[in-house]
Amino acid sequence: MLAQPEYRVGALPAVNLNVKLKKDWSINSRIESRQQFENGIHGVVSNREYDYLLTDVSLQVARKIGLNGRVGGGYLLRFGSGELAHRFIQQYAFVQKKSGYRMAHRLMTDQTISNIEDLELRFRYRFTIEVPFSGESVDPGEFYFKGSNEFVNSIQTGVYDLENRFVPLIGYETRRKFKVETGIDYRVDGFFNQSTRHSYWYSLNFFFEI
Amino acid sequence: MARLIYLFFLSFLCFAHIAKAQEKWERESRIPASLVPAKAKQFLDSISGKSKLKWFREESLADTSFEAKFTFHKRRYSVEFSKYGIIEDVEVYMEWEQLSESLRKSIEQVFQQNCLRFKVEKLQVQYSGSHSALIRLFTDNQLATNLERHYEIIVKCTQKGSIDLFEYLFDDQIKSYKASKIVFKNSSHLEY
Repeated sequence: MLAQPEYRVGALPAVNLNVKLKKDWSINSRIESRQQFENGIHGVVSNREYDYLLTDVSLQVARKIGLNGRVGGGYLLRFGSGELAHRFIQQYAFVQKKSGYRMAHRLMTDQTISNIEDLELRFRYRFTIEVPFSGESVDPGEFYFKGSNEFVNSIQTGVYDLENRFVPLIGYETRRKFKVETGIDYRVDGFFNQSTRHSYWYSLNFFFEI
Repeated sequence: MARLIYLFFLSFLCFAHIAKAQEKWERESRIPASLVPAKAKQFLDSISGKSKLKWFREESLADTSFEAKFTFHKRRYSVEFSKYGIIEDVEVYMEWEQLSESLRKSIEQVFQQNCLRFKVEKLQVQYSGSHSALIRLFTDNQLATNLERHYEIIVKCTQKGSIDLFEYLFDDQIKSYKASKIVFKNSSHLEY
């Protein structure tokens, strides 16, 4: 008999700051917190209680490669609920401009060590599309749709898992090139160990560019 | 601890936001034909056999203009009008190989001087002139002698340590040109 899937509902507010440096270099820093409003097992039990889960602070240094690619690496610090984790990140992303939309592909690997869990290794691929509500590209003062789908492969103590993240967002770019995005970050994991979990996060992202 | 980091981050961002207040502003948006000046619509109405017509408005702090994009005889055209509907130029997309060999050689010499390696990504021929001369491009399907012609070329150019896209604008005789580096729109929200 299959176990009933678990679920979580919460919010993922994030602030992202990108700083352009000389000669194709850039620095990206991000802070994101995870807060849970409800969790339980579908059709069995639900628990409506606010729970602050964690905060991630990360810093990545990247360099433009070729015409529209970027390779980067960095460090993420995660803390909350008695956990302190260190994650090392390597990524390659490239963006393609098409008539009326943009597509981005991101390949990422990361290694996480923590005071309460074993080493976790992950390999991720994310596809993102950005479609302006009006015109050929997103200009200041315009809304856009951003949708992404990511496959997160992980291995920890010899156990493999796959997580899928589907994130449809509505964004707005201000006249000062500051962006705000909101939508749902839906995640499903535990495909291979009979403990499937669905997560529904309200996503609110702020992007600043210097 | 988390709150302190948030406060630090947010105060830093507020400062950065104010510092960026002097950016120039441009916007292109798709519009219905009902918002297009009558003169511009009349020009397009006189072209029979066109398809996939789309209207755009381009706004900047200094000016507003209108642009019609459509297909005519299997070629993609773009016609630009002033905010009063006065025609400014006609652009037609072409394949690099469709240019004459002598023109290509002249242009390639310029690219070879400026780039270690290059690849032509896009070519548009720009026609400007009187209203009657421009309309003959579509009605008589031929070039009027009093049309001015320019070549706008997007080229991928490899230079020492970098690969960039450049927009070149050549005059009719390829005697002079302007080149400007194309700056990509920020994409950090797609990469991180």
